[in-house]
Amino acid sequence: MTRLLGALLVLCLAPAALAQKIRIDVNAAQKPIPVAVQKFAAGPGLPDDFYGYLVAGLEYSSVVVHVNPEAFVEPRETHDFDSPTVHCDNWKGIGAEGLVQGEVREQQGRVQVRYRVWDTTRCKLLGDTGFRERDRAEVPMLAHLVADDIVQRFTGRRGVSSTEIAYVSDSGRRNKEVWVMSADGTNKRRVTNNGSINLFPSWSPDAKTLVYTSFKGGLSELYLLYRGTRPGAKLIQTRDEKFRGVWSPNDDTIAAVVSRQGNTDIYTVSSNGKDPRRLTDDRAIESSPSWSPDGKKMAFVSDRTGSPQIFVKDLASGEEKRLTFSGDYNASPAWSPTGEWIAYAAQAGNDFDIYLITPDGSFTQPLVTSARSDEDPAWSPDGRKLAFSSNRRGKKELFRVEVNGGATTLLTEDPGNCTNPAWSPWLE
Amino acid sequence: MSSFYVPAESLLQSRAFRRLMAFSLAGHVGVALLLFFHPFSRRSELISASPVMVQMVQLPKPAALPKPPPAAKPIPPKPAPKPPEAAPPPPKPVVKEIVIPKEPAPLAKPKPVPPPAPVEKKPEPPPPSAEELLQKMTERVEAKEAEQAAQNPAQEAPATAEASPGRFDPLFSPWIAGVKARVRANWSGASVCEGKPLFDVDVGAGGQVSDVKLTQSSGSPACDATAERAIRKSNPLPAPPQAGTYEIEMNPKDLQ
Repeated sequence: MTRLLGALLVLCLAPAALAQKIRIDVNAAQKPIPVAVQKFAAGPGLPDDFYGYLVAGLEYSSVVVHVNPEAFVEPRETHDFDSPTVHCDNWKGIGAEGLVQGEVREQQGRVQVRYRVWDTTRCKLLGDTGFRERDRAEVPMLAHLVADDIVQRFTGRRGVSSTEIAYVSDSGRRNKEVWVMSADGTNKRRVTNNGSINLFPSWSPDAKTLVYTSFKGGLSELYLLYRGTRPGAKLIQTRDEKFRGVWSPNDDTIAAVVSRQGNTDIYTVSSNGKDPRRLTDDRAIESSPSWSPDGKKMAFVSDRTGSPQIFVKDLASGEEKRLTFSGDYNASPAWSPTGEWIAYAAQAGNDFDIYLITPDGSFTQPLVTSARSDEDPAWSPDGRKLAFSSNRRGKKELFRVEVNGGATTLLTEDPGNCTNPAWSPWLE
Repeated sequence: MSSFYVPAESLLQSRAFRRLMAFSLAGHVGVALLLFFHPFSRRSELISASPVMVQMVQLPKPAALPKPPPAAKPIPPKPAPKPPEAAPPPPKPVVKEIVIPKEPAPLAKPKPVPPPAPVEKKPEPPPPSAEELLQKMTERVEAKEAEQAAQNPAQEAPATAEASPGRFDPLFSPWIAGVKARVRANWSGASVCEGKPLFDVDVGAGGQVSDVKLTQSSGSPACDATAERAIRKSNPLPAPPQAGTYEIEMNPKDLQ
């Protein structure tokens, strides 16, 4: 009887079992995408360093890696950009999953670039042909802009090799000035020169203006610094002491740490200095504001519970919530551009380490924990990297680290101490 | 001084000394035997554990290890939703078990998983053992089966033996393990993924991939593309026990 039932059951179920598809789970390995880059066809007298900057810009992403041209079966340089023939199999054969072809021209002092990006595995054009132009002197930037766009086509997120990092250096002297460098640590230039103490640069969303703190007038004040020749200006005219300004990621609002009648709180003010609003109202010290990417919340530091801890304020409801509960000293919150993390500096012994915490406080993990102090986390606009300052080699220097795991790279070779990195948004 | 000197020859002739020597010899032999036999099992444990040690060494990230987390613990009121990762040893060793741990790849990402599922296993990242991986896989498959069963209680529930990848199946399991290893080795750029794209893949009798269809997007076209390239690059796959359409789920999360 049982057997009969069993046989019946099997008969009934056999078709169902056959119809069921086998599902295979494949786990990921951590490997960058290999992309072949042909040297761009160029007119006479055009810069041949373009290729080098382009490849460096691609690899800066750490998600894309270029295939050694020595391995190419196809030509190493793009011929006849306008009538493309792509032999995908030849590119696949050398392990390339993508191909970049292009052409550089000079027109009335402007360098113009056209390029095309292929997925060679699927033999498919990725998006439209790109076109960009810049002044001749800006070829490195032009190449990095192209690279960042190519990275976006392969990863869905724009690369950041064309961005910049503002920071503070004392150049081994007693004053501190604000400097700006390219994201790869090259092209450093000083942007303040007043011989005083200048601190805490923060970028406007279009990366065209910096707000920073300076003692150049005697008191601690906030100033604006514009690209180009427009003269700088003091942000807030009141007599209160202002310690730090942090630009909102998506409008003209600046969060300002202001000491009024001996009580330090966070205010917001428009970038023209108008519409001041008080954000925090507590007898303790509130400082280090960091906006959420949508501008609707703000992380900040307060010692209202006895030691500096990180709090999050919902700007609409006004609700404030304590975020960090472990450790005696948590500071420098930096909300990631993707919104998923808040990086902060947590004291461990006499030093600081950099940690990540989810904005709801549900999870914390260490990110940078050298034997010495790691501080001042600042996110790249794609949220894949962090710049930070560290005294691991003695004086304070700036480094960047891949948030996903990966190398830590030195950014500054400077005679002095470098601190307060601020990673710019995309420049265009 | 010289009064303490006793010539060796005369010692050897001393009965007491010889007895002493015999005793000593016996003692040494005994200890040696003990050493040899007793810790033998432990030594074999060491050996079996050694791959794990190697993995730890390979972790490129200096960051996660050294310091006692000062502020690191998940905050008490809200325990991080940590999926049970270290479950009891798997009931059945499967061929997959052998394939997966051999791959060095999981180590490459010692770090925090990027953003989305940060919650999974940060605090202490022990490299997953074969058993854990297998366990996870089995659990996942079983969970899915349970789900399906719940949806179609009447018919599909017991559809286990033939085609279920979660259990050892002499016909399919070795092939599945081969497919996993091959596709995984060809997956570049998985770090851009946050979701798990799902594909229907037509596999011919010789393993030729004739069609790859995205049936469920990860939410990111760029991620879906990395996964599709991995499958296409893996053409031909190992020859399947049976030509047909197979479902491949590309999971960026199990990196660790």
